Amino acid sequence: MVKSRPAADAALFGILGGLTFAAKMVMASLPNIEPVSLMVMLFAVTLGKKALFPIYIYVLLELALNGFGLWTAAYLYIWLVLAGAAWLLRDMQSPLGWAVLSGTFGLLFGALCAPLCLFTGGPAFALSWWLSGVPFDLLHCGGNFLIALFLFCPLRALMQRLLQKYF
Amino acid sequence: MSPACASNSGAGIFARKHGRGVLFEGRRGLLFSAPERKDIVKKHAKLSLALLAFVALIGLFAGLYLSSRPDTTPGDKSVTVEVVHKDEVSRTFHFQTDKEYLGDLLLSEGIVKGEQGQFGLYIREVDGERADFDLDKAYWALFVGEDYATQGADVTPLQDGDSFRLVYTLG
Repeated sequence: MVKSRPAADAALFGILGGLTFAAKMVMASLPNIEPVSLMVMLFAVTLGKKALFPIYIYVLLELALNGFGLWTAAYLYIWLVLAGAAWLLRDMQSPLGWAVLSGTFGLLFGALCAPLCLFTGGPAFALSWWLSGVPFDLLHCGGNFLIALFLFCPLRALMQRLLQKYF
Repeated sequence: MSPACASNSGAGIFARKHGRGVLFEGRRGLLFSAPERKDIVKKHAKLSLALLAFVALIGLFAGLYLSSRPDTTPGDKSVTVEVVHKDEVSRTFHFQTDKEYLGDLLLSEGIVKGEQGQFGLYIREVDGERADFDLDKAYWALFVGEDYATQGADVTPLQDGDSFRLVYTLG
C-alpha cells in the first residue's frame, strides 16, 4: 500500500487504532473473546511495517484507560509477536491457516505475558501464574480461532480494496 | 468458514484428460496443471501439519494444567482467613468446613460478595467493605499464606490448617 501522505496516514492509523480499541470495549463482556488479534493480523498483512502505528495507538489507548500494569506492560511487546508472525505468513490464503495462527497466539498469550512475572515474583511464580491461567488461554484460543476463521479473509479483502481506492 | 483469501485454494482435486495432458479439476471447477496440483497438495500438507501441531499444543497445555492443579481434600478442615481493611484494621475468621475451594467457603459464609467474571470469581466486597477498581483502582488482593495468590479464590483449594489473607489494595 500506501503512498507517502503523512496527514492521511495519520488519520487512517488513528481511526484504525481507535476502532480496535472500541471493538475490544464492545466485546469486553465476552470471556476472553477479543477482536484485537484479528485487527493486528489485518494491519500486518495490509500495512506492512506501518502496522506499528495503529497497533501502538491502540496500546496507548489501553494505557490511558487502565494505567500501567501487568497486562498493559505485556501489550508493549506482545502484539509485535503476532504482527511479525502474520507479516511472515502474509502470502497464506487459507482461512484455516489464519485461524490456526490466531488460535495459537491466543493459546500462548499467558505464556508470552509470564516473563513479566519473573520480575515481580521469580520463575516459580511465573510458571504457576501461567499454568493457573491456561483455561483462560484455551478460551482465548477458541475465540481467536473462530473469529479469524470467519472474518480474516473477508476483512483482508475489504481493507485491501479500501486502501487501493483511497490511498 | 470464510472463502479463501485468494481464489485457487480449492480442496478436492480430480484428474481429467484435457488436450495434450492431464489437468486436475478442483471443487470449483477450476483446472490445474500437474505442477499447480503439486503446489496445492504441498500447501495442504503444510496446513494439515500446522493443524495437527495446533491440536497437539492445545492437548499439551490442557494436560499440563490438569496435572499441575493442586488436589482438593474432602472432609472437615480448619481454615483461617484474615481480612485487612482499607484503614489497616484486620479481622480474623476461623472456619471448620467441608468445602473444597476457598471461594465456596467465603461466599457461603457471607464474607465476600462478587461476581463471576472472565477470570473466575471477582471479589468486590469483603467483610462489608467494597473495593471499586473503576473508582480508584482498589481491589482485594488474595494471599495464600504469605504468597500472593496466582489464581482466583474459586479455584484455590482448601487444605486442613491453611491460612489466607484478603488485603484491601490500591493499584
